[in-house]
Amino acid sequence: LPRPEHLPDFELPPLVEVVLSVQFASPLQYRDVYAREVWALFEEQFNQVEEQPPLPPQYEVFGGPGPGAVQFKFERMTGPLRNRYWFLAPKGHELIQFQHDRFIHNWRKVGSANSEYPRFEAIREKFQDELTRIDEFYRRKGWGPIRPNQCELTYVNRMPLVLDRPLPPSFYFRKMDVSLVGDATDFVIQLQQTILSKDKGSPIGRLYIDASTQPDESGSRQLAMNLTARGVPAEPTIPAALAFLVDQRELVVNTFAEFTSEAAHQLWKRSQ
Amino acid sequence: MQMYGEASVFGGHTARRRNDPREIGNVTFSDRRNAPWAYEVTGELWRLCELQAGWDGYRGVPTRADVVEFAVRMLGAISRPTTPKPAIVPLPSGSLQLEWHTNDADVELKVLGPNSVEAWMSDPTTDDDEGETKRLSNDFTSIDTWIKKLG
Repeated sequence: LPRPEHLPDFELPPLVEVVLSVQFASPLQYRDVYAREVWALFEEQFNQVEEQPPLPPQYEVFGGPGPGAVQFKFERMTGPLRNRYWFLAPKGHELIQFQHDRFIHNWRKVGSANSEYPRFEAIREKFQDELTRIDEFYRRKGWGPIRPNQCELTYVNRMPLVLDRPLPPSFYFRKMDVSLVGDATDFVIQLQQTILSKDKGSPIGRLYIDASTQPDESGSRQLAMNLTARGVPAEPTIPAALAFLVDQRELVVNTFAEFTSEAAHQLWKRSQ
Repeated sequence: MQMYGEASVFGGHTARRRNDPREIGNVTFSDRRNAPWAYEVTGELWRLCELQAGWDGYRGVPTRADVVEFAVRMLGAISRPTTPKPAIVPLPSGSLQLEWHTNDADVELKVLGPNSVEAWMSDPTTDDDEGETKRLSNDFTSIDTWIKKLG
């Protein structure tokens, strides 16, 4: 898929991580030892493995008084404990994550040399290839096709608050005037909006925008801004899941461009 | 000192103190809003995954984990502190049904899988025995009035 021409584009985006994720039904026959066979599918490129605690299931639902009116525990209360596995490429820019009901591909910026953002299209193509390989593995096992029930796209941005001079956090924002919180050195902003389907206009997911100040690796102040779009694909298939991610990429990039200032765009060399 | 929540961060709006009913001084009242059955029902739902194959005397399979996960999320969205506890019915296919039967409404939500729910409601005060059926995905706005009728 070519990059949409109308999409805002930056030569030097403050992007440090992009995450594509698909959640799917866990096969009844799945056991954690099969994760070794999944790793074998990718071991040539991702030759390091780490164990991580599993991610809880995520579902965006709508209606009623909304989450929080009555509090439920969402974590699994019975059944075996499952791991999440990180399969890492030697250079560390790319990571794939697998657990019994989730597959994730991360691109992350490591250092500054040789870590130019490869663009969404290239990451999506890899993700599609990897997801297809897992789907074929599930079919060979007799577990049936992967049936995605939730998709997620996250863009992680980091913006220094000290360049040649200290910058106020408000430098980066267009619509949000954080100067209204006075000289606060730290803040957290969390916003969410409903994502509507193109055809029926019904809610299919949510876009989460988190912005906060924090120290970078050297201890200098920086602004972190994460945008996550999560929701249900039009149907429980891999093509529909990928289509959801492509659509939400436009939403995420457009929202980022709308929220950030012209001065920041100049800094990032906006070309479109 | 100003803290997050005390001022609007949206340009042009007047700064306004956040009125969070959960916090009065150092006391948090968040649990007081809970329906008393919330944790109990969650445990009951998860125990359905431990049913043995053939639990119904035929070929019934245990309830699928993704069905339970979605049912809990759905309950979290639609429930109010006044909503009564639902009855839980496992189904042989690995799905489940949540049921409420009150003087004002009979409501049944069959959770077939994530994003796949069959909803049925009947008003016992009317002559309509067939009730109303809806096929729902992840949006339960259209049955909000049904749930309100329950309590």
